[in-house]
Formats: sequence, structure tokens, C-alpha cells
Amino acid sequence: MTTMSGKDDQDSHTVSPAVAQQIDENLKRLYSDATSEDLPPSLTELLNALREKDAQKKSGDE
Amino acid sequence: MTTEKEALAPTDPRDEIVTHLPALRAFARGLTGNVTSADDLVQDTVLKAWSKFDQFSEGTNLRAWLFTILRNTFLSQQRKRAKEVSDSTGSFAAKLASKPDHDGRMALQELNDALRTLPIEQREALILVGALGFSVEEAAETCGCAPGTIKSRANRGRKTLAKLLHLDMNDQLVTTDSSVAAVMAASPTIF
Repeated sequence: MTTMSGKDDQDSHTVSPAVAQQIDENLKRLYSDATSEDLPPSLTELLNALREKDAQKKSGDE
Repeated sequence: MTTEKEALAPTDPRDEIVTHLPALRAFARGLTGNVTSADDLVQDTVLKAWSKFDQFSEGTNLRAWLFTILRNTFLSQQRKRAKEVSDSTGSFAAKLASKPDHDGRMALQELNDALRTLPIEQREALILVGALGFSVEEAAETCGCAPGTIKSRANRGRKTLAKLLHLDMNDQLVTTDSSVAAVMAASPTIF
């Protein structure tokens, strides 16, 4: 339900602080694997290739 | 004094980008809901960022800049298959709503599934602020909107999640996903 008042609108979509905290804690856990695991080889290889390309470009310019 | 100088010294974003990749991967997983698609999205983001580094202003927020590129790349891909996503989300939302209560317990997979039913604006706000610890201001910068909008979207998202997962003031959100058992064991006071 949308109202003209932003404050009223926001308040009507607010859960209790306890529930909000529980949801946020679980969201952190949901993504903890992605933030803590090693980068996949494809990504590190891509970065290395881009750096190497830049280095070659620089040496070519000099 | 030296420390302040060092902190203010410009760093090459090409060197700094690697420090943001884990969080970018998490954000990408939240947006795509798929590990492989997420890593493809991060690769696309790195390529685009690398080609745009000459447009990046030193001293501005590299993390928000990178997340904005990832977000825009994802939204562009989504627009190409909007109908398909809309259909699958709708049918899944109906399926989830009819699920029986699990005695107040939930798995992280269920949280993930419920998260996938949220509009993208709410999902990204929740992932940035709730999961990745962005300030409301930084999330707003990333999404190109006002801080109040991020707060409102996150609140709406939490409310929908609470409803879909049958949470209320007295519920304890209990994760049962075996993949996080080790994490749970390491911090038993939280749940």
C-alpha cells in the first residue's frame, strides 16, 4: 500500500529491529562463502592477462 | 603524519580491484542466484572496469564504482530476458507462499529462495546493506538513488522475507543448511 507520505510508507514496511537483525545476520551467512573463498582461477588469470597486456602496451609506448 | 599521507596517496585502481572481488562475487551471486553466472558477471565487470579506469577519478569510492558497473551489467543482461525471469519468479513465489511451516526453522537455501522472489531493487539493497555491510550512503551511491530510498527498499525487502519465511517478533531465525554448519558452530551465540 502506497501513501503520499514517505515516512508513513517507510514505517508501514518496517519489521521489528530483532527480526531485521536476524535477517541481516543470515544474509551475511548466506554470502560468507563467496566473501571468504579463494578467487576462481579464471578470474585471477583474467587479471594477470589484463596486467600483462597493460605492461606490453606501456613498453611498446616507450 | 606519514600514515595520513599514505592514506591519502592515490593508489592504482588496477591494484586495488582484487581486494573488492570477493564482495563483488557475493553481490553477483545475490543478483544472479547462480555461482557460475555470478563469476561470469564478475569477469564482465572486471573487463568493463579495466577499460574504463581512465574515467575513474582517484579519491572517489572505487568499491561503489565497481559495484555500480556490476549492477548495470546485470540489469542490462536482465532486460534482455525480462519476460523469462518475470514468469519464473512469479510461479516460484506462489510455490513458496504455499509451503508449510517448518516449526520455525529455516535453511539458508530457503532464505536464498525467498530472496530471489524480491524485486531486484529490494534484493540489491538488502545484499549491500544487510549482507555486505555497506553504509546506506554507499549503497545509495552504488544504486544511483537517495539514502532514504535504500532504507525503504531494504525495509520492504525484510518485511517480505519475514512474511515468506513466517517470521514474527517471537521467531528465532534458525539456519539448518549443512554448508554453514561450521560457521554456526564457530558462533553459537547468534542463533
